[in-house]
Amino acid sequence: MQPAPALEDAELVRGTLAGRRADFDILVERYQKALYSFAFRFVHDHEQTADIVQTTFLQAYTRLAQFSGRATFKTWLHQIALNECRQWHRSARGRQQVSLDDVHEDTLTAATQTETGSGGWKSLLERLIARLPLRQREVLTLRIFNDLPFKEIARVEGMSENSAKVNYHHAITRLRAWMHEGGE
Amino acid sequence: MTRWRCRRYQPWLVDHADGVLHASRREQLERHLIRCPVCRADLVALRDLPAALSTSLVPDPGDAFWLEQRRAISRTIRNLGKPRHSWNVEWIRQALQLSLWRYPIAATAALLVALLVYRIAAHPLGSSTDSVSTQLAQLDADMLVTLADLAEAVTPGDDSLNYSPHDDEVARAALAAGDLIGTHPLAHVPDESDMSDAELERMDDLLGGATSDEA
Repeated sequence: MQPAPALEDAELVRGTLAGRRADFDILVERYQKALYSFAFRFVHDHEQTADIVQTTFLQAYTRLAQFSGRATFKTWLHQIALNECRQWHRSARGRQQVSLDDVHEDTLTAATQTETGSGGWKSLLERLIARLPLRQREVLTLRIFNDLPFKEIARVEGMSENSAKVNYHHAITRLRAWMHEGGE
Repeated sequence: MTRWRCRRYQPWLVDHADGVLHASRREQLERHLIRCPVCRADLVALRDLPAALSTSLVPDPGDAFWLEQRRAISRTIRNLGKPRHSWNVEWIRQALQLSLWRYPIAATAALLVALLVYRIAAHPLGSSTDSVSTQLAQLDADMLVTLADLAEAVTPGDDSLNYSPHDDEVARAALAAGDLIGTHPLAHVPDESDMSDAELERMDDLLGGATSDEA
């Protein structure tokens, strides 16, 4: 017996609006991990990330009737998650968190050299990504880790597709420059 | 430091690295890449770095966490009730896009708008003056007398009202009387000076020369 074909997001959204809450459970299962990995790159804390993911899904559920379908459900969900992350950054707890943006470049270079030497390659990359300006970090994360096309990234960020590509270009070239500095 | 003229190529480099740059732009970019080492290095980074970055993973909190979070979300939405529909413009737009009737509906809407525009152009809202004089001129003498009598009853004790339907007060009273007998619920009455000579003559004829006598 062949497994039943996966339902499209739009179909599940319609089902939820029609009162089938189990359809929304499927959407949660489908995007839970992607949203967690997206939010974690901004928050760097498991508890906070879990809160953001949960709030994102609850917001999506209560505002589901406003989902117009112009963008994909995945894009719309990421847009809500991004707003939650930004809100967290503005909040007191977000400001209290030690930001890697504030770390002086020399300190970072020294840290990256140490980590490269100790084999902490993934940790180094995370630290470098965390040091990017927020907008570039958002675009890079959405593109590489959440696999959104630039057209959808532009929707999430509220910018033109060209601006999204320029931000991505800046993020990549900046990371390359930092990695060269760290490896020298 | 990025050179100013290289800035326009930045989004093109991103597309080129993804293999989606349009052919005409690709030729232009490749000509630029021959003489620009900075953009060549950027292109290499755009091709190689994403693969290296994608190996960077956030820590997995484990299956127990995913399951518990799904249950928590599910419990909460069951307490929230069904999400409410909102009738917004976007929803209507979508409904129209999906509907087979969208062209007939659009044509009907356009026709209704055209009719409305025509109606407003042909009978402007502020042109009740003309229609009052026209309608008064169309009344026969007996009806005018009846209306004037009614007007007198409405405004008792004023002799000047007799048989002067083009007079403002009489006309207003006549209209009030008209309202009473369900004829012309009109708002404004013209001044004599607003009436054309032809209208005055016709009024004279109807009233047996009353207007001329007054003049």
